Amino acid sequence: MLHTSPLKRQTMGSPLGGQSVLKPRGWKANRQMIFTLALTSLIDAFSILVIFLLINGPDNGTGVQANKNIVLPEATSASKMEVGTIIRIEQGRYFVDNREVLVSELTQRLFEAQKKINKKTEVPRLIIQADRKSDYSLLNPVIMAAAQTGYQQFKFAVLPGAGAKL
Amino acid sequence: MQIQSGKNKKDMNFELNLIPVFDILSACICFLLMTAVWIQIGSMDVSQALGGQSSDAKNPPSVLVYLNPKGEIQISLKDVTMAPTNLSKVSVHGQNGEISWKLIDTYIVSLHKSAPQVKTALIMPGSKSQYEDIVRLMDKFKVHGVSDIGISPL
Repeated sequence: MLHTSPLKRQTMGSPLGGQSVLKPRGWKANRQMIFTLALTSLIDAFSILVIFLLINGPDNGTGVQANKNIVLPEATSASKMEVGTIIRIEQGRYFVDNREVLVSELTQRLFEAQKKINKKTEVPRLIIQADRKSDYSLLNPVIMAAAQTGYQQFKFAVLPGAGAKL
Repeated sequence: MQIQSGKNKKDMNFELNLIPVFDILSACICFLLMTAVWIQIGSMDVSQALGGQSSDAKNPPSVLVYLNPKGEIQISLKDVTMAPTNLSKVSVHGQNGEISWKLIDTYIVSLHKSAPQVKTALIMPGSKSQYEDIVRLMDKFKVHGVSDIGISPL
């Protein structure tokens, strides 16, 4: 029907069909110089990449993220990170749940964070994230404040060493 | 669709436009690459060394570790029955201000063999003690079965 239609010259010829040597199709069966890209293998690779990234997953929900200014210490006996109040010590500054606090406000801020925790369903945990070269004098205010505000568990954020099972 | 022989064959082939699929996959990959986590962060559990126990509670056998700013570590045992005398009080000297980890390893292994009932350690760092040394020390104790580790404030 197409060969009698006045729209014949308006239709698009198949670029792949025109390349065929045995049975060329398209406008006057001419060889066309249009470059065709085989996307099938590219789609395969992209699909595998998407599936891998979906499985790998984003943040596991704890809120602890790697920081470019902090190099965490390594530990072989590292366990899986859990949800808790995150306190980060970065270049002498203290951040509780990503909000900067002064040393004098640490106890108050940790107390407020602890009040928000439902103690019937969750154990108050404090996650400490500090650079491996930090002196203990920087961590001491955190330890003292946590002791005063009743945090029962501390977790030091570490990088899993060789042999660690998370 | 009827298949006919001769000149009027119906073409059974069709072409699938993969451009939209490619667009969507590219967008998904870009999003997932931005949000993926490449560095897994673990945690090391520590308990606080202040309070938390009633006055009637019996003190468990424990090892006390004091970190000296000069890289020296003083280790003593507390409430450990039948403790070997050579392990009761030990001072591990560092080299050039750094802790001698081989000697620490040797001590912890000996302690684990001679007194396996010791499951508690209390670490008392100095103000200049480095965080990575404290974590490494805690890690070594945990690897050898000392599961309850407390850290003392200054």
